[in-house]
Amino acid sequence: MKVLLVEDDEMVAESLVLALASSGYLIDCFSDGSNAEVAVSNDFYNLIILDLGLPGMNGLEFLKRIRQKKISTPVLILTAKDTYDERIEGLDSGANDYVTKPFHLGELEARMRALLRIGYNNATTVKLGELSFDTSKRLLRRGDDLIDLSPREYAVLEILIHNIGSMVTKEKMASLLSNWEAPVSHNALDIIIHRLRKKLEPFGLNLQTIRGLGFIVEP
Amino acid sequence: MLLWLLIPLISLCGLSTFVAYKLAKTFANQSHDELLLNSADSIAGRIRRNKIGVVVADLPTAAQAILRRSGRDSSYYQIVDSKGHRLAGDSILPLPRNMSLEGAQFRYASIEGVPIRICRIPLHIAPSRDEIWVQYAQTLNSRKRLQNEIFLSIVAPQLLLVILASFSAWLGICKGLAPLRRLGQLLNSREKLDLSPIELGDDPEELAPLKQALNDLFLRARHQIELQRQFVGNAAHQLRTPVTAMKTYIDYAERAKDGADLTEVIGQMSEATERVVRLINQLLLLARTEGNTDKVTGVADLAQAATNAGNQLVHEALRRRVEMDFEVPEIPVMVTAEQGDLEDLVANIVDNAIKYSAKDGLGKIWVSVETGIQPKLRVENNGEGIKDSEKQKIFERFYRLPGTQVSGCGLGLSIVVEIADRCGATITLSDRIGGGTIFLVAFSNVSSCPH
Repeated sequence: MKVLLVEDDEMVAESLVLALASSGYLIDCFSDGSNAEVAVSNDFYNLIILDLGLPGMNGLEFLKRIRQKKISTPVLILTAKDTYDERIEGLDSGANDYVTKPFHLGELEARMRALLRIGYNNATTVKLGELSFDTSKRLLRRGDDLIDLSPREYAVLEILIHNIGSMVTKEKMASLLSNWEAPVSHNALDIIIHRLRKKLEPFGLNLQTIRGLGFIVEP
Repeated sequence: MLLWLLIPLISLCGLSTFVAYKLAKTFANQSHDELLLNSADSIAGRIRRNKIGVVVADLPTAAQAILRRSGRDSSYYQIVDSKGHRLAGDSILPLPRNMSLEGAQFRYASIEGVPIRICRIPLHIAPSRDEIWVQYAQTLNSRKRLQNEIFLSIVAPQLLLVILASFSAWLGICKGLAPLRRLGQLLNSREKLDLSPIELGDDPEELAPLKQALNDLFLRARHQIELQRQFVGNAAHQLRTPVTAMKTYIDYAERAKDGADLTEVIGQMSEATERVVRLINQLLLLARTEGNTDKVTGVADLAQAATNAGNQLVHEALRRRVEMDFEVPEIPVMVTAEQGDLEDLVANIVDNAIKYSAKDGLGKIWVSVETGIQPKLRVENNGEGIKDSEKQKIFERFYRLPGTQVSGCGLGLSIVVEIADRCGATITLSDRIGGGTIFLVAFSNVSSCPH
């Protein structure tokens, strides 16, 4: 899953990038609203973590602008104030949830998962033939056995299940798999899809490639 | 309050009673003495010498009855010759004294313990040249009675007046003080930090200055409380950020697998901790500087302070690849300040100059100390400089230049202002030609003492 982090404090941003990357998230980080707005307009993200106290364009303004642009990516706000006003205004401006600084990393990630789960219609487990995908732990099982997949393969499968029944374009897939540091080429993508199909089709995964367009997993 | 009102009123009442008593006595005496004199004259009119030259008083019974009948009082008369022998009249009446006194004389005496007033008049009956005396006396009953009547007629209305005046004054004061009492109740019934302006509704004019003064005081207190609240809020906010990073690293380290390399995490945590420590130190310094309203009496060496600040910040400058240029006289430059404060002031300005100087190894700062009647500290840096619209704001607490990437909490220059204020120093900010900013701190009331 790809997350956009908008946080001006270098120290907080670095700590979050390190911690979230270790949990398997791909993270793009911006320290100001204007650049983040450009990124969110040109790229795909599964989730936005937004600090409200930004210099220049503040967090709320950024939020209002992206919602005006019909970008519906879930937004989790980080607030440093204990007053209800800011949280209420944040939620009313289009945010989906908030955590107050300093937060517990576990709670932050649980809230992130809860927001990402909306893509799975809030299901904690998604059934795919003989396979079941645990949306919280992000694990694929057949019965009690874990299916052995590489991190990249997991990431692709997760994106496909997150959009189950809808087509994911190659561009969107490539975008969701890459951050500024590690772009993924279309060729590499084709290879991953090929491997996934080979490993999982025997267990009933219905993964289709629509030539020239993208990929779809049918429920 | 009533006591203060009663004391003068009662004293006044006592004084007027005394005067009234004296007046009553005088009036009663005057009128009765007149009567005594008239009676004595009447008796004198009846005295003559008979054919053989003996003095006789021809007082018929009717006349005596008139003389003797005098209401409540007993009357006495006596005729005495010049040698003091009683010629006629009542023997119990004391004989005249002090015969040398001329004219009508009045005196008090007593008969069988009853006080009387005697009137004595001299009389010459031709052909003799000898004086004879007529004494007429009365007991004092009517006299006393008249005296009492006069006294009462003066004192009674006065007493009534005093009582009425006290009562109405008391009423007036109560009514006058009612708004004050209401104000007291209003203030007592307030929540502990309710400092909203007082509204009394129909407040009397007398209360307006007090109300205004209280409201002004409340306004100032509210403002101060709001500033304090903001300060605490800002301080908490500033602490929250590094603490958030520390907490995230700790959560991350806790769940890291055995054998994972946490060197980077520990380094980051240490940096975050450093930032918390720095912030706490700045907050304490600000609280100490701000809380201290004593006049600065100490003398401190500006040259020494500048050198110390340079030593203290050399690592920071090297780390940021900022070139430092110090031009400090080798003699002490004494200014009015405490040495510790002065070093904090210089260090904060120099630290700021380093942080905001040009990036990418191009940064440079110049620190110089100028001697003279008004020693000056001049700190310049190259770099982007500060926009005019920001020049005032950078001295505000927790203010950070918009878009700044430099770490800090925005307290350094607030501390500088506090210290400069205490030392009576002035700070001017100007643009440096070629980019950057010049901080000039001019110290006042100083004596340069080279030795």
